[in-house]
Formats: sequence, structure tokens, C-alpha cells
Amino acid sequence: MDSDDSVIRVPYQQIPTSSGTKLPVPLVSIGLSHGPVLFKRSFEALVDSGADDCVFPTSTARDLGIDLLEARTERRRGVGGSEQVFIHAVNLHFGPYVINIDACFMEHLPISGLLGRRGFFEHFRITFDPAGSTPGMEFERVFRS
Amino acid sequence: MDSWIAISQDGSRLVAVGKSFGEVSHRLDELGDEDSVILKTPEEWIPMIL
Repeated sequence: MDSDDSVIRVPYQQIPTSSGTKLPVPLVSIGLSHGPVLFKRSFEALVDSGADDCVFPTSTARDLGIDLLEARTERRRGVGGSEQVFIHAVNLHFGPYVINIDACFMEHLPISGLLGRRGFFEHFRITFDPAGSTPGMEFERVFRS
Repeated sequence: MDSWIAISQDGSRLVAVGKSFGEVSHRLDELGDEDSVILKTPEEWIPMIL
């Protein structure tokens, strides 16, 4: 991750595939916190303009000390069907920014996290450049009044 | 597969495996590893449509 005063630049991660090639994937390192629990390490989450919300596995909620019995439940639909999600406020840490979001926690999420429009895209002007000499993304924080 | 993993920063080495982010993070603490990258793997390593 590289950043100046207002723009965070992140290269695409090159993920190996079963065919032996590498696939550029828009992953960024984020952290989460809830109350006194702050993840001291970051993990990789997918920047996904097709996702309505920011979504994480339910195991991550448990790591944060969140009691999912107290969370609001709703359903979310994906390409493979619909599933119940648990919605709970957390702090999302990205670069120098800490943003309070309502995150969705899902039992069967196949990856570490999705950064969707509500909670992530609404806070950044995002440029995807998969064709550049260094394929990557730029994030400029947007503050709305 | 379907696990949380930590891989070395250059992507060449699997450093830790666990059932949750917390488990992998704890394992890295034990190893004194500050640099590895943590992510969750899908059940099958194929291109995804989410």
C-alpha cells in the first residue's frame, strides 16, 4: 500500500490459479475493531462494486467478541442463492481511516471479506486500473456533510 | 481449503492455517511473524463470480 496526503494506491494481488497462471485480484488490507477489541493484524478483503454491503464471515464477528444473537438479521441474495446475514456495527480500518459501518456477517462467505457500496464505496472515490503497467487501485477519501 | 491462511509476503510460502482469522493471527504471534498476509480461502481455488 502506498499513500500520499489524500490518495491510497494499492496494487492488485496476483493470486495463483489451478492452471498455473496468476489472476490479478482487487484485494486490499483492512482491519476491524469493535469496542475494546482491535485486530492487531490486517487481512485481505475484495473491493466489490457489485456488493451492496461490506460482508465478512461469522467467525470474524466471533473473533471481534460480537454476540450474533444480539445482531439484526436480514437476508442477502448472491449469484448462488440467498442467505441470512447478521448485521452489526464495527469499525473498518483502511489506511489512515477508521470508518464506523454496519457490517453483514455471513456463515458461508468463501473469502475473507467483501467491501461493498454501503460502508466502503460511499466513503471513497475509487479508480480501478487493471491495464496499467502496475495494475492497481486508487482510493481518495470523500467526506460528505 | 475453506480455511484462513497466512502466506509469506512474496506469496511463496504457507505460514499458518486456521479455522478463523483469530486462530491464524494467534499462530503468527507464536511464530513472531509480523509480515505475512492473512486471507480466507474458498472451498475450491477457482475463479469466482460473487
